[in-house]
Amino acid sequence: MSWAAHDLEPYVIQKHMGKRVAFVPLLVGSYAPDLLSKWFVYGVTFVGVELKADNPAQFHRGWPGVGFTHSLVFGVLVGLLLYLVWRNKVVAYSFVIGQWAHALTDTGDTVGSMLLFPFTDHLFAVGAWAYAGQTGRYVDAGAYYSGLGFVWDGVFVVWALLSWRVLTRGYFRTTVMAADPFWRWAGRHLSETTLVALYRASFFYGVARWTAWLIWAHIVRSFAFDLRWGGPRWVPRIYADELNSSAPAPSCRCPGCCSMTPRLGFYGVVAVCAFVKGHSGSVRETLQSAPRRPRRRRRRRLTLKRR
Amino acid sequence: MRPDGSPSGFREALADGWRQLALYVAAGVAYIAIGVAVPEFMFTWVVAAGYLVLCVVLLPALVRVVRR
Repeated sequence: MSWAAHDLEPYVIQKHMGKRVAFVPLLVGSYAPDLLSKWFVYGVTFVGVELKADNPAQFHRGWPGVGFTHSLVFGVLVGLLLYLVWRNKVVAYSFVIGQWAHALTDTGDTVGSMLLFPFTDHLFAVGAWAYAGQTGRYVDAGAYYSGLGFVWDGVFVVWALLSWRVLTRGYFRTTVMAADPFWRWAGRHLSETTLVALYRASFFYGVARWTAWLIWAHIVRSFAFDLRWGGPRWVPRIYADELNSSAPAPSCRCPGCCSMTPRLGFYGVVAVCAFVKGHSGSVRETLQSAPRRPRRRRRRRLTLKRR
Repeated sequence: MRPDGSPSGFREALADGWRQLALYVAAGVAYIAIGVAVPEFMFTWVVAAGYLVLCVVLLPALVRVVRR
């Protein structure tokens, strides 16, 4: 599972899609898979009675369970439902994009998500960080912020900070409000300052709690960092092949399966780097064509000072 | 100003809303401090959104009323 990434992904998507996406359905889609299930995974005590799933991982990601909320088809079905209610294509596919972003992001842990449910209950998992939801919220937080999970969230923190323009009031007024009917409706009841604060709330929540959980995990509680693939190793983790009674054997050769070796993950990273480098060519050209600082003058000044 | 309504540069954005940025940063620092001390405070989005609205909308409005 990811923590801050689900809060920040919508802003990054908003930056790239502009008026072609409606922010509120995008955000709701990004939260949707865990919206009604996460409390039961960690458990809550209500009037002295503890409510918690017997097998939290199976309940959260598997079938039988509510793992179908992490499938791509679930996003499409809810999107269709939204389209039938609102008759607005942008609202419908914005939800789908948000839900898909969540489902794909959650493949990063050792359990993964049933992306192709109901066609198969196979759990697609990259296995970069440990799934430890069954240990409760605090240990899970400590584990997540000690393994590669916090790095993944950190990528989204940086990416969202680089997308700062989408947080400005002018952008909200011109782009976000124009594309999303929710804000126009809410604008009848609330001031623009309140609307902007609500629009920025997920960004605020994502960045602030990423920082706070990191401080809590490593300064207040002293959890040990372990940035190895599938780590941290000190936490009892669950793997995809432990869920779903009909799941294939651990020797599954699916490229997205958690049984894949870290080597495949390494190849993935190399592929991403190559892709980024390919795009950076245009950046390099721009930098080269930009005017450079006149270094000669600086040298002359230095030599004059020495004299 | 760009066609999407956002400012053309960071300096321009700061000139327009540095007070608001300071308010958000202060609210963020306080949220982190409370969250580190009481992690339950960070459990839900609703609490964070309510806290943010309180810090950047309601409290400044209250201060303005009191100053008058």
